Amino acid sequence: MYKYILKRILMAIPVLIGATFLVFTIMYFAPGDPAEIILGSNATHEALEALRIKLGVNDPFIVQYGRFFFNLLRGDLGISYRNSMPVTSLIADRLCNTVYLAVSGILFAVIVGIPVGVISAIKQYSLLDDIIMFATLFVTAVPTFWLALILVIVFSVNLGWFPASGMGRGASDFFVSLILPMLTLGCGYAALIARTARASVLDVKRQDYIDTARAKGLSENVVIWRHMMQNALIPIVTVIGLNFGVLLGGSVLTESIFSWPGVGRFVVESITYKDTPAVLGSIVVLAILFTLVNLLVDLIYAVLDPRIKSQYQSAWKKG
Amino acid sequence: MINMFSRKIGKERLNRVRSPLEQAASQFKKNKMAVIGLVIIIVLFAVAFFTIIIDFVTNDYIYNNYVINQNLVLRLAPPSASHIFGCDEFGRDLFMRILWGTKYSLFIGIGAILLAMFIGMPIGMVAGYYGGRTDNVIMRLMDVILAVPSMLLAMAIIAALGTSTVNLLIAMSVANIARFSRIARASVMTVKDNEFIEAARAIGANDMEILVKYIFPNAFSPNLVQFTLGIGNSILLVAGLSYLGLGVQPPSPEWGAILTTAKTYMRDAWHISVFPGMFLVISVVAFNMLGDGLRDAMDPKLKK
Amino acid sequence: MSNILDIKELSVAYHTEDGTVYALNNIDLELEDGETLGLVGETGAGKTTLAKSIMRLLPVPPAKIEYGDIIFSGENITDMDDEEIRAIRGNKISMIFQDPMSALNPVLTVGEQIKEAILAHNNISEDEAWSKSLEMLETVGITKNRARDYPHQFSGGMKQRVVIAMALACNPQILLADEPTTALDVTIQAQVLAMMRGLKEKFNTATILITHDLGIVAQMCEKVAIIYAGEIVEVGNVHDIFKNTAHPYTKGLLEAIPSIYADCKRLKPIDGLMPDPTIRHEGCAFSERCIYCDDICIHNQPPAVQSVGTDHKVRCWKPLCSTLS
Repeated sequence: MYKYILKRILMAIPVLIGATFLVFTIMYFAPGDPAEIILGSNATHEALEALRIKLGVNDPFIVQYGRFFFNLLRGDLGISYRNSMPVTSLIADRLCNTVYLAVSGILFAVIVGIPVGVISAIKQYSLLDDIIMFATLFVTAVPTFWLALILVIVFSVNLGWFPASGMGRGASDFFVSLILPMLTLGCGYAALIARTARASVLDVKRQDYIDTARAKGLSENVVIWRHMMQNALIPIVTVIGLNFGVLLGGSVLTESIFSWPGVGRFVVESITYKDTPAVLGSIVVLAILFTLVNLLVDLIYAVLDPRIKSQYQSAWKKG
Repeated sequence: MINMFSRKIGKERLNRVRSPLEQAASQFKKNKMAVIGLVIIIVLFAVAFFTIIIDFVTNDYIYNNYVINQNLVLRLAPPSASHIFGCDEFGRDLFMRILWGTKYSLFIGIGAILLAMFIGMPIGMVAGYYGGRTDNVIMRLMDVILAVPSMLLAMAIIAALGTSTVNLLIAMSVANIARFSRIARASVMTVKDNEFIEAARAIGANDMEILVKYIFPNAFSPNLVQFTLGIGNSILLVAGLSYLGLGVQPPSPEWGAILTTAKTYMRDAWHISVFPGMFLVISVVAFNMLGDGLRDAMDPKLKK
Repeated sequence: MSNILDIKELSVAYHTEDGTVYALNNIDLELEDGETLGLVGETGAGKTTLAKSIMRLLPVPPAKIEYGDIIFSGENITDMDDEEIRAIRGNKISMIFQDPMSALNPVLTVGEQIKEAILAHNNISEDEAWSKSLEMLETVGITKNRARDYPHQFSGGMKQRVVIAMALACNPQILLADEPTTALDVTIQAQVLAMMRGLKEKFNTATILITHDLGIVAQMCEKVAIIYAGEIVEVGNVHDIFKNTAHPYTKGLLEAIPSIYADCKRLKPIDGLMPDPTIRHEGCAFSERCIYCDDICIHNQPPAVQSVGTDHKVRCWKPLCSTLS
């Protein structure tokens, strides 16, 4: 089991390194002279040149990447062009907020999505199944930012139940202001999970071992919960992990609309201000987060499916 | 039970041979939702072409005077008889803007994913077919691309290259290229070791011929399904990027772009928020219904 | 000896969007205590449907028992409610399925799955059930220390042994075995069949052995029933079926078996296909393919059970052989 996790981590590392290289290369082409952005266009030519040398932007590409990478390993993501603060601390301040939002979105999606999908599959062909299928089709088509707008218009502006933006002060404010963003982020995800859950349960339902379980005289409840669910969860968990990246993308839009102080909103702001180190640092951090979540999914997957566990255990026992 | 049906179908086959295409088409017709989706998509295309033709014929007269023309008297006017969707913060008729915005979502949305498919499929087919080192290298590259959440990747590319339509298309396709290549590779690998490939080699077909004549048709259908289902996401991505100011630039009335300022005025002008979004939802739902219908028609295991 | 299972005029249909499939038409079947009955037929003849009907495992919309009675041990179980039938499943009547590769839940250990079957019908402690489960494994030739292994760690033949252990764990009176060795290769098949014979002697379980392989029937069964297009066309003891074959279909099946000794150039299949199950046919179901077919066969249903010997019945207007004087 540990071998499996170790192997997965070892495989993820080169991919992550490649990802940092990819993003760095892309941002390398970003327009704008860092020295000018920091000092302003009125600065003298000498001052600009001096700053350029100090920042290292005249160095060859590979040197710049090398510098970036080694600093990354030490936790240093560079200095923001916008306010000359270390990017690492700027992101650190905001990362928790993004994580809170993402986690609450996932929790909502899982708590709502899985039961809905399972019920839909158990009651296949019924009216309820058709309604759920149509509803999920619809919900996955709704743009995140539009859903946010509508929710805000209905619940904030007209009903005044929830704040339209920000995080407020204190714990209770925090939770209240979390609701609308959580719903925005979680609804599409919930619909996707519901569809996957339904397909997965339907697939498991027609497996022979379900017939065997019934033939043993087990009650329908036991058949569903003990035999169907654990098997059905496997593909669901995979989908949750794979789509976490979409969730992160969605959080960019959600945070922007709700002025939620997270990394997503930070990326948008930084792009607007051409703050390349900040953009680079944020995207790299989010990519690392995504990879970690996928590793977690792999771990859960191994726990659920004994076929994976034993691949890495001692000798295959041949019968 | 399945055996009894195969017996029944066997009897039918003895009477009349139907090609797989015919079977798929009849299955498709039975799926009403897919047909509704198709109708909506046709209407959308009609609107898009309509607006393009009008612009061409009138030399942008209508565009200049009705779509981007500012008329501050009508600022934020609510829906009424003369302006069925109301007006935006510059007094521009929202209905006209939405109509003229159709072509962006449709063509950029479809274009981006088409581009991704044309580049991604061959890459995946090559990786799957040749296997070994080539496969490893290509797939690692695709993994690297997919390690970055696709929205962020697109944003980074636009930040770096600027906000033109071409850059938008490039930015949007990169992640999808990786996805299509994976799917193509998977289907190639299932077909590759089949005996009819060996047979083809035995009669002297070279690699290129094998790839094109035998492997491609098999790799195509899962990609086709991914294609139609991906158009919906593509449309949402364009809208999202435009909303953030990174996609289609104002004053072009792309639906997401219209929504950019909607938040500021949401207290007084709910109509700016509601209508463009509705069109986005309808378009994406239509493509998803079409995609589901296609997938069900091609995969007999999913039939009721 | 008394009949432990009595099926009378059983008719089952599937009602689907694409039409109604008449899967079983007027099935009459008797099974004596401790007897092994072979149920032989082509794919699609209705063998599995029949077995599942006995256990009430058919999916109830679309399937429906249109008519008929299933009498088990003197009790009519056709209309029993869910709770009652569950008490019988796995306990008094067990079923094993065709494909061992997919018959076991991949995420539970084999010991656990057997224990589950035991606990479902016996009010004993978990530990007792676990040790009983280990005993069952040993009975089918699997060492006890493999109880905590998962199904994928076993080969096909071993998996089928586990399935059999599970089915026999509660010492049922009837075992329904649906093509238990079809998915296994021949050497393993022989092993499993030998084991089943041993178990049958030990537990004296009445068995309905569903198969399309007449060789297995010859080895394992005392009585044989031939099923075609949802009907039992011939039933009798194994000697009569092979030596005094009465129904043309049975004859066709026997002749279709390739023989090492015969000096012939071509196999002798039975021409044609089984009739469309969505159409209720007028006359005999086999008439289209029968070489002895006559007018009466095409237009009239042959009488359900016509005796042609001791305990030998056939459904045919023109039985090929009769040992009645």
